[in-house]
Amino acid sequence: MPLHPQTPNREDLEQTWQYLENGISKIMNDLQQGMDMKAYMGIYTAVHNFCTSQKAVNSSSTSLHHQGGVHRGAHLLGEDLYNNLIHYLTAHLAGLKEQSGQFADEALLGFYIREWDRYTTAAKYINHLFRYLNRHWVKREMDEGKKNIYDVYTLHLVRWKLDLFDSVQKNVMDGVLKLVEKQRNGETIETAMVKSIVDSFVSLGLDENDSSKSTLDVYREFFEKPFLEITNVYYQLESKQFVAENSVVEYMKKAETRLSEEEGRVHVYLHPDIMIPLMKTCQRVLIQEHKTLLHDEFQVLLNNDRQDDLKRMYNLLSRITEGLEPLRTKFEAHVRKAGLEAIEKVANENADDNLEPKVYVDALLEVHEKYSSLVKIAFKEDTEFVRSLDNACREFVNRNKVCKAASSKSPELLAKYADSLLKKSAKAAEEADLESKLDSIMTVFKYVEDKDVFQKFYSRMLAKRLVHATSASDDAETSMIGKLKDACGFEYTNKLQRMFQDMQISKDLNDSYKEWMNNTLDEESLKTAVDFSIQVLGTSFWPLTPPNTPFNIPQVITKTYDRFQTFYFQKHSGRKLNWLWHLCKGDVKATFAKSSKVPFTFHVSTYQMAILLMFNDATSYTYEDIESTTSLSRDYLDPSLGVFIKAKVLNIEPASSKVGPGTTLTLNTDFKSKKIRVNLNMAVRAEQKQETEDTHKTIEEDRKLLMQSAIVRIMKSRKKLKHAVLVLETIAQIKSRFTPKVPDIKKCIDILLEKEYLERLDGDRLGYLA
Amino acid sequence: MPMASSSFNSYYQNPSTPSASGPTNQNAINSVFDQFRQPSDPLDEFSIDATMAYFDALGLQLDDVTLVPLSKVLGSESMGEISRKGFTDGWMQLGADSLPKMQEKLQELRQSLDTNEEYFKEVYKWAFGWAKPAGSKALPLDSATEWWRLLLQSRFGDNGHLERWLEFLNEKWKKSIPKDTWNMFYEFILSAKADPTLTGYDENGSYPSIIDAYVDYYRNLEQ
Repeated sequence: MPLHPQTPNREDLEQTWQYLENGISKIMNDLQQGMDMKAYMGIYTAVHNFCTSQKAVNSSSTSLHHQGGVHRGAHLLGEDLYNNLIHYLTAHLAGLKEQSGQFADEALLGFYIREWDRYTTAAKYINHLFRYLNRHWVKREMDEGKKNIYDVYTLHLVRWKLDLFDSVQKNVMDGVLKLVEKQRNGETIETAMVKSIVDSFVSLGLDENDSSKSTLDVYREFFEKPFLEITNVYYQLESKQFVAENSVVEYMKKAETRLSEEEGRVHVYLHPDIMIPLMKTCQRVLIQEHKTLLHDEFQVLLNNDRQDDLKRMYNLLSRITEGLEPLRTKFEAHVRKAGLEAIEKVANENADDNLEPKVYVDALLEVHEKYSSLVKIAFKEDTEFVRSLDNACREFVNRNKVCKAASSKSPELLAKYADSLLKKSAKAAEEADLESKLDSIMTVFKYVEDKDVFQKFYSRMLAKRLVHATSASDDAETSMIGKLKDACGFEYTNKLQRMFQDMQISKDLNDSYKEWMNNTLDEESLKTAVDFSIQVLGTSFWPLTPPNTPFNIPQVITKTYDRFQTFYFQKHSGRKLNWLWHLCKGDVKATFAKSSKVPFTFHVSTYQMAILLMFNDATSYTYEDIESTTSLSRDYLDPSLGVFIKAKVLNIEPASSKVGPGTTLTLNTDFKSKKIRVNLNMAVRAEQKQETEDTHKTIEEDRKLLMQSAIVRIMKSRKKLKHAVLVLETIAQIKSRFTPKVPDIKKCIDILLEKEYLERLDGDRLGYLA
Repeated sequence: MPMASSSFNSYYQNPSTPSASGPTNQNAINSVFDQFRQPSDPLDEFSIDATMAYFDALGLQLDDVTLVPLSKVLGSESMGEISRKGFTDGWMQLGADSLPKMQEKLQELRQSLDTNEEYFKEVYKWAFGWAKPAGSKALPLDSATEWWRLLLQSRFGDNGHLERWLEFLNEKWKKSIPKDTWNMFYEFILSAKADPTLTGYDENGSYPSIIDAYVDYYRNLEQ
């Protein structure tokens, strides 16, 4: 290589520059051939020498580029060198620009990348060689605040941008965009090319205020902007054509694919900066502009249970703002309709009285289950969709065909279903299974508005289970009460828990009664004492009513009756015992039957026991005899006798007449039974129906009291309150039990005004009267 | 008391109104009382007959609404009952010690009632306790009907709500009238004056439910 064998005269610019230009040119054009250390050091020294020489020889006339003509020492010398370098670069780039004219598209990209690599590599070397210039002259100029002076490397970039980039970038971008379009059309492209272009564009972004920093300005303007524009046009066209020829579902798949492709594109060869605007553009063209189409399809997908497609639609629409709102509204309406239809179906298939609680609750649960899993799987448990589901369920749980007559039907049936699960029965559920069924009761319970109705029925049936010892499992009972407590608070289950306590206390009471008997009775009395156990239950916790028939306690048990009272009042003086005969039962041994040597054991109610015991004295009585001996009202007497006749324990005369006055009842000594133990204590159906009605009636009364006490409570703490505010607060307080109606609240206010708990003040306000 | 009633208040604050000729003589009032007290009456009370005779002498008819404010002024505890103390205190305050002066004052009471809404309201509310049977909390429906007609007919009779209200009570309610209903009906009939079709009535507002029921009844009739 024809380098000057020795370093040039340090004070001669022309000579120095020629020496340098030779070296730079070699670096720029032939670097791959290598450069020896000596030559490299020569250039480095020449720059150093020139910059440090005291006097430059050249005059303005001989200066190659500097036109100032005034000597200013080393300062001036640096500037000369700098300007000569600019001149060299401009000329080099002008050459490249000319060459680029021969290329187009991919070839142009190849050329650009090649030259860019060569140029920037050279720039690094040259920057190193001119380090002395950078450190002194350039630094000084920059410190003085001169604009447009850069370190030598940056100067290369600035010149590239000005002398080449500005005129070729359009063509280069055209090449890039054509390449990307090819890829979008399914061809394979050399993505590294695009990536190199991106890197080059990014490198050209210089911070005007601090050249050591880079900005994305150049890249954004010359790459991102045209890229996004072309993307927009491409997908606009494609999506329009696609939806014209394909189904909406196919389109959703297409859009989904396109979106993930574009995302992948960013990761593979684009700058991460484009991710947000690129996704925005794609979402706008691919989703936003077709959202009406998607919204319209939603109902179709729902109707056909297309879970995967619903998920796809959710994912697409969740990417745009306000995209899901119409879906939520439709979803809510759809679920409500599904629930109403399911209930209408079971209501039509079962007459009102025969509707099995299980059938009803299962129908509610099925709809809930179906759509709650849809929300989970397709809608990512989106809180808004969960809310829509809840709204819909609350609607169809509380207002459906079965509830038409009374909104309290849902909680009633739900409580009855709970009873059927918790009661001993032949097909008792497995424990784990039972637990999950109790959980599903809670699912429906959550939506029930009249929680007080559920409470009423539940506590009545729990009382029955406990009193008759028909509860299947203590654990299950406790678990269910725990769930109710979690849902509604301590107050809601307080009485239920007290009922359990009473059962425990009664157990202990029976033990100490036995002990007491052993201590107080003589042997003979002990021997003849009737087997007896008792439950003593607190009146205020148990939803039990005293019997509504008079009853003469049969002689046989009066001793026991008196004895227990003596014992109990000794223990708790001042307490009162109400005997609930209608809930009592007993076993009697029957020795009258000729067919069996072993006596039968009849399981009977206390009322039935009183009737049977009469037949110890005679074998035949008139209806009127029995009526006057037992004192039972006919509501109780007739069904009790009915069971005996049906079981053929007693014969009626005249034969096959209805139980009633004028008939005679005779012990049937031909009584037969396959079993030794015979259960004759059967609940009367009419009684059950009556109970349901009573329960509803007490609910109305309780609600009035609940509202009044809420009003008084509020007024007591607030003293004076606007009427409207009082109504709202009352609703808020009571809502967790049931949804009170405003007119009912107003009626309660009227009552409280009349009773002078409240007074009217001026301007719609009410005052509390202590 | 609100400003609107200041004209009436002046009776109490200034016994010697321009119409009174000289200071009021308590003895003269007492002798008017004795003039109408029947020989069989207790010393300090008018029997119904005495009250009737006195009203008659004043020229006050029983269907004249002014008998309500007059009874109030004279401290009557229930219809037709006037005590000596109430009689003398009342007339002393109004400043009248002879029958002609009393007639003059009666005229002024009538006028106040007609022109002063606040005063009317005060008299109306007072009337409930006066008209209801002693020991009862409510006013029997038939007497409530009479009193409403007497008190409100001339003032609020125009738009028909009073008569329809009474018709509603007698057809549907059929029970005696509690105090709150009495008081609130005044507010209602007052607002119905401005809104005779009740379009602005809010069932969720603070009126007692009986008035809600009336509005519902009225709207059904109008349909």
